[in-house]
Amino acid sequence: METVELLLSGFATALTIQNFFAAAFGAFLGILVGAMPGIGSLAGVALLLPLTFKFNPTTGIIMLSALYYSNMYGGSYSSILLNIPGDTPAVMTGLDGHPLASQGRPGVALFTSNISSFIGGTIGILILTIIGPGLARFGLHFGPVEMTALMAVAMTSLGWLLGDNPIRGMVATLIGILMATMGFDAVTGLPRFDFGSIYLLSGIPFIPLVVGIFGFSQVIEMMEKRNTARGFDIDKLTLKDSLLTKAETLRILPPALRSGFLGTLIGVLPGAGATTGSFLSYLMEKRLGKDGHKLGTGRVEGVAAAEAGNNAAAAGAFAPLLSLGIPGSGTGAVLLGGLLMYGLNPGPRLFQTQPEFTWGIIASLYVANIITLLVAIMIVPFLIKILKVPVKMMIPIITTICIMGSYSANNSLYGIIIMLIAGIFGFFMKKFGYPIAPLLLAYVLAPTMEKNFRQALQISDGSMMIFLQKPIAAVLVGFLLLTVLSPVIRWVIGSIKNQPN
Amino acid sequence: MKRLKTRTILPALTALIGLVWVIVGLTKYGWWVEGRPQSGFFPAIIGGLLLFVSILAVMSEMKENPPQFLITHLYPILAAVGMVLAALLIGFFPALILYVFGWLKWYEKYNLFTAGLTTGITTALMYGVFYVWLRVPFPTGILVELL
Repeated sequence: METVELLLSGFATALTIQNFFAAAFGAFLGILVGAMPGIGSLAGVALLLPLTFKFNPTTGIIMLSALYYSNMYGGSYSSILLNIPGDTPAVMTGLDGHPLASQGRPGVALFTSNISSFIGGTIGILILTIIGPGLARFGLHFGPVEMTALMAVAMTSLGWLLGDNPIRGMVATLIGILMATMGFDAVTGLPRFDFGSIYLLSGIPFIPLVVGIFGFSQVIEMMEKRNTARGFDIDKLTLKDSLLTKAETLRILPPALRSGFLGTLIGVLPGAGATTGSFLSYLMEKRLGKDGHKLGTGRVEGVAAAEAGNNAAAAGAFAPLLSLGIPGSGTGAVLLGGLLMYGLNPGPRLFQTQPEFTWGIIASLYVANIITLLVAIMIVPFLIKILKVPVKMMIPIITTICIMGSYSANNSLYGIIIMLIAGIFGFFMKKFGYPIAPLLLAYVLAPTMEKNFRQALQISDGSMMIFLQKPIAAVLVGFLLLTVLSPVIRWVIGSIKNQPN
Repeated sequence: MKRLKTRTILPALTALIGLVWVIVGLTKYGWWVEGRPQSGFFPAIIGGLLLFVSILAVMSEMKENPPQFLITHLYPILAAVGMVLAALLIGFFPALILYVFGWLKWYEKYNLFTAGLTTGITTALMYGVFYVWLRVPFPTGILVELL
């Protein structure tokens, strides 16, 4: 009952004219950027982060949340129409979406994607509403010891799981932590690792770093694909051709509902984001679906499963983000960085100290979900034109956004310099196969981790055994060890399997 | 030898960064004093871990094939630096117009209309969002200030 009251008060916040339009604007921009091939949700949210400066924290974060959420819708469009996924979660959508489009039914594929995203997202937001406060109450039992272990789990789960080479994930994570140690020490307030530069006294600024490492690195990478021609099998899309028949609607409901629940569950887990959500939902549909064996040939069930899974995971990821302060993905880390930038500390106490803000965000997700669906349906006739924008035309435009956005962070050329260095570094990381998302996640979480780690050791007088003496921390440490050692375990199992006898 | 030079550059650099953090952390910011971890405590631990993992990375990268780099990868970097330098001289928005139009017309070989229209829309959007809406005080440039 209390949750309902709080949610209603959240709607009162979300439905103020300013917040409503911020959510609508975020939904529109997010879907547009997500639909543009070659940008992706992470770079999209990073590039649009400076736009939230104008607003107060609640409105800014509502816009950012809508941006993040609607990006998931847009990512599937290029996957369906061009077989070029706008983002990794959309890879599974293309498996059935593109064959369906090639069979002359692109509108149906897009409509299925939109409706399933809406269903999956709604399930995710409903579950977030129910479990979010409970998770926060559980989080209140966390002291410095448990928080340190939790932060370590959050960092490693993403760093170790991404990419084929866990060592690269570790390097990325550790670099992110080191970058966060520059500037003022959060415990003593003394400057450190500034190397005599007044600019580095306040550390590496978040926005130029994010814009550079995701946005500008993408521009450099785009130079490889700037002449790629995009072939369209269709010239025109209309809303009329996109509508689903009654039979098709009934076919997509079970996979969308199933995947909605599974996706949310995956989204709540630290480190397992929308990509895992869509991947496992699709696999589940292949195994459990009535015509699972036909998936991959242009079935609406395949599109529904993948899209409901990834949107549900994106919504579910808000639960650990708001209640425990741990983002489930790189995009979530950008969002967390945005919250910190506004002086808000996501974590167990956020639900208690800032209920208006927290419930405002949750309520705004319901609003954004409806607005995004409407925008997504209305944008269908214009999609061909949006997707036809050549990559080579986007290069100078995105570069300009990167320069302007990073300058506007602190009205200084220093922001642009950081953006350029971060962009070049990010490009090299991508080329050498190092995942970037763990770096950002570690950069955002490191100050909290360091503060709690030092406090924990001060309590125990320097003994690391304290991490095994507290039950919650011990469980988390066990999980951490399992994650860290999983590549070794996999290697041992593989070696045993490969032995002749 | 070429493989060694390219694939190992990044982990070698991160190993060096890790080493710097260990040395500076321990010598300048301190480890543990009177039952309290000092400012260098956490960075030195992470620096040490990074050094160790980077050495492992250097060894594993030697077995991998080097990625391909193109000269064109440099162009957006040079163009961005050029735009920033031009902005200091003539102001941000004239530099933006020059950059976007120049890139589309002379590098991408778009016709005058397409390059002009794209430049016009981009400039209007940037001006509207950053200058009018966000009120970012962009420098007007040395030349304009002199005039």
